[in-house]
Amino acid sequence: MKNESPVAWSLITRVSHWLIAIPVLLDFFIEGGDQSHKVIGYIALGVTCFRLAWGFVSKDEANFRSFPLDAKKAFEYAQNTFTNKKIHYSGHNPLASWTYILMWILVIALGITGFMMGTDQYWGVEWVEEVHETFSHVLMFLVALHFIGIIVDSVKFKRKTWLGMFTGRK
Amino acid sequence: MKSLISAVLILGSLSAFAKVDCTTESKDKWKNQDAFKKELEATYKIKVFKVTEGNCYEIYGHNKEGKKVEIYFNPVTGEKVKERVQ
Repeated sequence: MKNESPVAWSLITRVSHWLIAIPVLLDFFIEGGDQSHKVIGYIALGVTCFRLAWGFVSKDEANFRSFPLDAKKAFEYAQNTFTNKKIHYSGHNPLASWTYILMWILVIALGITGFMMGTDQYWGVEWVEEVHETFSHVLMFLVALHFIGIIVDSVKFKRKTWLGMFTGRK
Repeated sequence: MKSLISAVLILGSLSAFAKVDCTTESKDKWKNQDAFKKELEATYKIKVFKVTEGNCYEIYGHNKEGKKVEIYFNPVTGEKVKERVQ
């Protein structure tokens, strides 16, 4: 095959993406406290821990080097989403970078609070449940932002970045 | 933006924190909380007792086998509406 763009996301990166995405979405709808909710949650937690380690060693755009975290630039980027100006980043844009990192942190925080809810000490303790629930809603909000980002990227920038999460190339 | 907010709200209402509804009867028909607790303590070790938004008496605690339980009761009849044993 010729004229192919370089691999942006290796197979490991893509598989870890989906092994976090699918459990997170499933767990949002499977009732808390059910055994399956826990098993699925721990899968997401485990893969997220792996993904964070992968961010230090991978050689593709999954590496944290490819995550610009300049807060000012993220803000600029957010503003420009609603204007005609096109600020182009070939890799992750700073707004997306923040979104992803917050999503991973939330998956871990959900894993920890979820575990706590099942311990004798925190059984029925309301604040733990509320924190877990709030985190899950913030995570879903970020998932919604993630989808909006994909739509903006493909409509405004006419890119097919989303396809890369299946094929590895973008 | 409006459709986004409503989509988030709809998703939120479908979320894993399903609300349990127990009764529509007014509170004066409900069993006395302390008496009901005493009744339950014959079977359960109660850690947390609360009145939920869905008009239930809910307990978190342990059953006779020492297993963790979460149970929703109809506050009028005292019947179990939902039970989860861990």
